[in-house]
Amino acid sequence: MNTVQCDLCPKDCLIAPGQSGECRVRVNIDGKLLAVTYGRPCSAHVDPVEKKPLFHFLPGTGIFSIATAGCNLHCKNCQNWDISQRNPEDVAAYELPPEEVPRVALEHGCRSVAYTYSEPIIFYEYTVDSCIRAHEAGLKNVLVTAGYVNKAPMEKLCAVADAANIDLKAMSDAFYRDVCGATLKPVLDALVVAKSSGVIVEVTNLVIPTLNDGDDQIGGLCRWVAENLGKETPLHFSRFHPDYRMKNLPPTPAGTLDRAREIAEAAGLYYVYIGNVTRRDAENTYCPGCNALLVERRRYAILQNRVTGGRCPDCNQEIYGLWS
Amino acid sequence: MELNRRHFVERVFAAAAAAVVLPTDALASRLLPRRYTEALRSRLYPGPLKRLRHEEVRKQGKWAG
Repeated sequence: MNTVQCDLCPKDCLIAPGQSGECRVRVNIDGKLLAVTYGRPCSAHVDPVEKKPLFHFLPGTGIFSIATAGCNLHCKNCQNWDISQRNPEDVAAYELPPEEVPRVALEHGCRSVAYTYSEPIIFYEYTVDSCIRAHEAGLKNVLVTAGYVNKAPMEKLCAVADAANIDLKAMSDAFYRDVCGATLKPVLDALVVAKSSGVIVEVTNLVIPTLNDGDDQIGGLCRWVAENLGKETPLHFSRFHPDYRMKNLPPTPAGTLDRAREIAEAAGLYYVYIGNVTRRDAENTYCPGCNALLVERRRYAILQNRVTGGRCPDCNQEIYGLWS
Repeated sequence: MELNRRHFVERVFAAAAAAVVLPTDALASRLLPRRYTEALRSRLYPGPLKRLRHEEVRKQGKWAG
């Protein structure tokens, strides 16, 4: 039989010859599964690491960020749909094999490489091989992912990754099914695998009016993060903007994001941030021990960073993350 | 082990089960799809290629993340 099954993500796509999986980039050629975007990123840019967003990982540094076309999720609100929801046939790409990735990153003064924008899970082989090359060159690796992946490949990815920002889109299986074409449990499992593997994990929740902005949903998400990943896990609430196939909803009111932060802090989380909106103190890091201001940020800029040797200079409290 | 009637019947059942299961297994391996977690690294890209320009790389990505 020439049909193949891709076991990389929980979709377990059955792929007939000449066809691709749901991700559009894993293709059955003559009974063999091929990663057709391997070494062919469609995007390659130097971003501030704060844009990922990662606030507890080498703050103030540049990160070489790459992505290929395709995604295994189909979120109606995707902000990057012009690369994530298109076939590689329609997206121009660079020739950048894994062995070239560290060279370009170092040429641009970066200390790390991010596999981001679309979904590093679907260009899994390119991500793993590039991570290995990046480590050999003394660079760190960052995954920016929805975490919709099976356990074994996630463990292999975590063995070569240093940090990850993982989306937790809602604490609702119905939301994942209706909005993303996915399910919740594999994402929760991936979060636990990443954290328990020693990867520095930050979580992002995009707050969408009427869909996942209820106090009970946000409270459930915050309690799950505190109990399963630890209270030191940074949580970013991000403002929704109408995009792609979800232009019928308004942007998230700033008050909703303020309320989400209050709920998260009440759940005991130490580091809660608000993104995609200008709010006072929304992006600053405070010491969970003495409440001193440690890192002052404005958008992607670091105005001051008082973290010393991974600790608060005032009370010596350990601050989660990699700081230098 | 003494071959009493009970043991004889058990052996007959075991042989019968093996006769059913083993060919099914062999057949299944031919009929079921091959499973892959890791894909082969393709050398060909199905879309257009573009040149990596360092002045473009230096710019911040327009995409979220």
